[in-house]
Amino acid sequence: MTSLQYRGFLRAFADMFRLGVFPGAVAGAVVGLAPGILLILVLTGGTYHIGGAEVLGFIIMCIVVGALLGAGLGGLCAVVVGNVRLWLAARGVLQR
Amino acid sequence: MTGTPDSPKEWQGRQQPEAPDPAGRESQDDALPSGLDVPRWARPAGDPSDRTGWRGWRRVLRRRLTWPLAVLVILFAVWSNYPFIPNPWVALFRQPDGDATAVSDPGRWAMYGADARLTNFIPGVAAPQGVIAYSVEVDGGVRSAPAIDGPHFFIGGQSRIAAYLAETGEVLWERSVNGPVHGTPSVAGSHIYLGMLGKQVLALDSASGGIAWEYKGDAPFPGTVTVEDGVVYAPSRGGHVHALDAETGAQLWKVDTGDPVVAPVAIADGRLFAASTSGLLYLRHSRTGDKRARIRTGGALVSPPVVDGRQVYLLSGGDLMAFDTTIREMPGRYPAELIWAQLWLWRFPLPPPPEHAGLLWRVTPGEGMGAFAHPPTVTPEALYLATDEGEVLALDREGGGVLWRLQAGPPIAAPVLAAGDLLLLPHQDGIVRAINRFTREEVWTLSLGSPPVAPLSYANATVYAHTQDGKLHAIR
Repeated sequence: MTSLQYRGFLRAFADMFRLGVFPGAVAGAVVGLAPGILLILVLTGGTYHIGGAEVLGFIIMCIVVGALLGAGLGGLCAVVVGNVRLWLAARGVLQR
Repeated sequence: MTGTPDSPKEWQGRQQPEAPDPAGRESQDDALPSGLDVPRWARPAGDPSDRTGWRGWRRVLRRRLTWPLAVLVILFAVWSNYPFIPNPWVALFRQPDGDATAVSDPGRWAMYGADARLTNFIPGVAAPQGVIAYSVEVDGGVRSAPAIDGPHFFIGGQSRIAAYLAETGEVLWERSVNGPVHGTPSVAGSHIYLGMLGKQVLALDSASGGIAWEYKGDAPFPGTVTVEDGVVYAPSRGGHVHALDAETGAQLWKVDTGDPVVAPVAIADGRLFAASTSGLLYLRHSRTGDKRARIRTGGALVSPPVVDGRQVYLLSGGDLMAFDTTIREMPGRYPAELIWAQLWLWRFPLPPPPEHAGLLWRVTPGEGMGAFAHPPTVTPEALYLATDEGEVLALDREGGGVLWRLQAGPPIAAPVLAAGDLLLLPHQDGIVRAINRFTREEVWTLSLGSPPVAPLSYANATVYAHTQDGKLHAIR
């Protein structure tokens, strides 16, 4: 692979990856809400001595981690889907 | 092709013919044609659209500062919950004025448990012979043990504290205080420090009994305060640990422990260990109070933690547990474990939640031995503990294995005291028994006529025992 081809490959990869980042981050953030909601449920059932700042921090941390992981996974999914579509298009199964 | 040309040559190729000025004026050489997207290299200095102008600088700054600022904000948010460096404000601007420390030696019993590690051990001292030298009337109904400072000792009573001559038991001075004194006074420098049920911490001059300072808290201070490196650590029933300047009584910091802390706190190697009645052991930075870790033990913690190098021992639910003192809580681990444990209790298909963070080992007394009743005594060769069935055990410090056990008689009323080669066992029937800690042979026994109500104290080859009948016995 020449340098130019390599650059083209990287650019195509980045373009596809970028397409999946935002939807993945949103989905990840929504999933990341779940531990926070569970923590609130747990805390309502007893005395665990966790301050409000720590609960809020934990929820935000879960959302941020979920969004980051979601962004990465979303990007990778978009690359896979994009390449499959290209592969199918090259074989005439899909229109480009 | 649209957009801004990138070179003067390209620009010249795209230059439009100049339109005549409608007002008839000749266009200036330095005037820019209107409606054109002028490239950066062609703009005059000070042009508002120039990237080197204010707007451009703002854009550059925004671009360069946004991410570092965001990272800083995130780091601050994490640090505020899980500090990875000590609080600089407290470290720099709230420093104690002195370095008073309560340390015991052969002529001095400075605080409950001998020192800030609460080991209850005085090495290399002369052994008492088991004879009562004198008994003095002190107040009954309080659980204060004497603190000894050379020729004097100090003991709390019902609304008073008194100093005595250690040689004869004569009263040196006496001072009225607000409420009963249940803890052992702590002696450091020229002051005596007391935690009071009347919501105060008092510092008295040890020579005269005059009040050096008084700190008013918002809840009772149930007992002994710990003095280390110029800081007085006072646990309270309000669920706080207060750190005060030992010289002035000024508050350096205060941390929330949720539930009451009724046992003295231990300090070792810049770390504070506070056991709360909710079963949580708090590890804090002793200078600034910053959080290091929390450990849920499951049972209420009413015995003080005892520190031995890199291990801290804790009695919980009748068991002895040893934890690593160097642990640090990972951000989010505590709430995540709570969720995990709850889901597991709800029978979600999950593995059981992990063991306590930092747990090194755990010892449960054997069948018929009862439960461990008092905190361990730490000596170089072993840990000594008594059960509520009167068993005395020597445990290996590293793994908690039983080295030997001894049925010593009736249940033990207070922690075992290790003074030199002797282990001193205060029984609930009023008998004090001394055994050699290496040979396990009984050296002497002595009847006090009434059970001890407070831990034993030792200094100058004399053991002091405060008994339920309101007497203090000096045993030599």
